[in-house]
Amino acid sequence: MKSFLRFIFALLLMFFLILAPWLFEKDYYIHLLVMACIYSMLAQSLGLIVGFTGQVSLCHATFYGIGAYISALLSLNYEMSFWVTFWFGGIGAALAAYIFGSIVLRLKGHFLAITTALFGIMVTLVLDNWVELTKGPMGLPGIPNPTPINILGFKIGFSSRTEYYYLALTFVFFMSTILYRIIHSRIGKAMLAIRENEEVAQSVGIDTMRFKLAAFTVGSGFAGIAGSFYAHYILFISPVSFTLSESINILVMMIFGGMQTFVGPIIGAITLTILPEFLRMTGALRLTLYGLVLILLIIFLPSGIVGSIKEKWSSSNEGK
Amino acid sequence: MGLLELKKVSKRFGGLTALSEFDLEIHKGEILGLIGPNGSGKTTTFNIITGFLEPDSGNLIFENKNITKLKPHSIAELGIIRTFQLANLFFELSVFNNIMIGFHNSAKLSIIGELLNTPTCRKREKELNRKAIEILKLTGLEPHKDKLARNLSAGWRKTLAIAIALAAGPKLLLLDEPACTLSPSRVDSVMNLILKVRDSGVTIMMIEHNMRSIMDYCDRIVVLNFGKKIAEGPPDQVKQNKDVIRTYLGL
Repeated sequence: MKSFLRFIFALLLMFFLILAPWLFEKDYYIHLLVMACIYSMLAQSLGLIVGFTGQVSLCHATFYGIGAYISALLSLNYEMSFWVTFWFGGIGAALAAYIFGSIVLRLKGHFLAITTALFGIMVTLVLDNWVELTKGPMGLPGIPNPTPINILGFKIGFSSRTEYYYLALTFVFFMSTILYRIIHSRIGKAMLAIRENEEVAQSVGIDTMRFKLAAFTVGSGFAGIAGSFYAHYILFISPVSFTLSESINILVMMIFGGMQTFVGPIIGAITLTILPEFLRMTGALRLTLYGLVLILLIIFLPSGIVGSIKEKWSSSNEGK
Repeated sequence: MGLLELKKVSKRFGGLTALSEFDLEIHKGEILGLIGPNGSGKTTTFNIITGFLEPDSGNLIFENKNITKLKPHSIAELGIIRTFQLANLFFELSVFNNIMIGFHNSAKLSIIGELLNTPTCRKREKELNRKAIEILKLTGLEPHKDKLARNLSAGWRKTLAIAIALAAGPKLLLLDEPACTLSPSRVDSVMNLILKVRDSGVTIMMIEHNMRSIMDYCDRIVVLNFGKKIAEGPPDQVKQNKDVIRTYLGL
């Protein structure tokens, strides 16, 4: 019965997601949907690192930026197409994460959080000051659209936001499928064990460093792919999009939705991309109200939206 | 030739000598008790054997292999599994999943296989599920299998720690105070569990302050004081040892 309900729910969700662009006539709303997809990729990949493996990373936006810059520079300087550069963006970010992670992942808790935050600041400084390569704070304009593709005779030219939306949806789908498989496999079990208790994990033979590094590398690589998508969607990137405050923004989305759940980060990303827009009508009070909503949520639903629903569900079942 | 040998193992923490030239041999199939006053180096010994600490000098030989410099997870892979003094568990996971994680050693991981959830993979998990239920039955944890580990009482937490260690497939099982904080009746059931585990072919070394269970259940006892071995032998012999009596009674 439960699995049947789940199936129906998934089917409805799929219809809604596919039809979504046709429900809103304004281009701007579709832009928000695309941004929600990008943030879903970011929040969910961060969920693997923070929610499931327990390693607090405050430099997720940095790997997002590394992916964006690699991809943008390759297509601007070597005229490579998005379909090639997004692989480089992802692999480049993953490689950077692997090297950085193998140095810092021995740190725990606050120490890791502070070190990753400082790494983020460091990379922002490099992007700002390596003017010959990155053009510094001026940013990189004129990044090309993805080259048109043919799917079953339909030509997709990436000239409208709707086409981008479907591409983003495809990316989210593939990433969450891979993350789902990781989380529900023995690899995911080892990661959970590290989150819960690193010492016991070691004592039963789990090479904790290896699994922490794996989570960090894969999560950051996905952030790199999201960055590459962002660069070829906005067509302009500059260091301000990949700062520490953006990392915190992603972290908040993940916590808001429920970081120890699979769908939580996606819900968080969608809500927190769209919510500030609703608050626009309040004018100057916008950010104050936004902050208030976040504070209330952390006080009353500390394990996030999805996490809290799950807890309610399981405790009401135990009561029966 | 013992299963595990410690040869002149020493460890200092700053000015404090936690262990000095400790020699120890653990024989296959025995239950060895390690006792001594607080701070005498018992837990340090465990930490050194399992690789959580590296000795300053001396060697550890397990099944003719030098394990002195190995990392904790590699030592666990060889079959030396420990529990911790404070029942350290995976608190936010169910009892069943705690045990499933314990099987990490026996599952050969291939990344592709895990991601695609291949039939071999599924078969292995099914087999491990079955084994987990066996361990639940053996330890008496079966009625609690869906509870979160943090919701268990102190006594069951201790049992679960042993159950996780059993899942890891030990050849040598190191138990750090398996009976502390337990009520007298639970002490006996935990000790009986330890006997059953020994009879299935696992060598056991345990630290314990409960003298009655040490004297009743151990085949051999080693006594430590200030990092030095002061006595070794069967319980009856150790009980008569003058140094031991002096250490414990202060006479």
